[in-house]
Amino acid sequence: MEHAVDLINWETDYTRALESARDQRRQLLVYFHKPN
Amino acid sequence: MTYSNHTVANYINDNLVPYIASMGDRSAWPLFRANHVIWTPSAGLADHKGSIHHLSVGFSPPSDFLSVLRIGRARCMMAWMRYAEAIKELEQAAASTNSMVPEALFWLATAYYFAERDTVRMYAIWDKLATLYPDSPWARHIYPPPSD
Repeated sequence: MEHAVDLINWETDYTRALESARDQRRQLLVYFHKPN
Repeated sequence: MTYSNHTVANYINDNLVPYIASMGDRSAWPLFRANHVIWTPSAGLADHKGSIHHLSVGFSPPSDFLSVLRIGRARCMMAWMRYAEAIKELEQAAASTNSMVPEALFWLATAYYFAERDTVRMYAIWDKLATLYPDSPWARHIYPPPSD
């Protein structure tokens, strides 16, 4: 997962993610993840 | 790991807002419950209100996953009447060579219908789906044009 985090600009705050999606007229990719 | 594929990562960074809902973060648990997610990894494509329109459970190889993202994004856009953009995404997914093509064709037909109420084109795409992928579960979801 660490390498993937390096490549993708993951948001970790849900409220901020929604605001960003609205402001940029983008959709949200929600990655449901369980840490090892 | 699919997320470490450069093509997939570039598509995500260029078109989506990627958010990690981790089981290790209690504040994310309501999102798991609200969307009935009981297995990880799963990937949900949501609109700007947070409504998930497409959920992909488990791992997918990079090419398949890129189509998952395109189909999911298109379904979100169709829900907000952004049909032209949805059609572009679905046409690209339908033109790929992976296991997601039948699903892409199914939704592409619906997008043509929503965009222009074009049933001729919708049935033509569905006919292509049934002809090329007769054993696909998606070919079982279509229905034939009404007889004269």
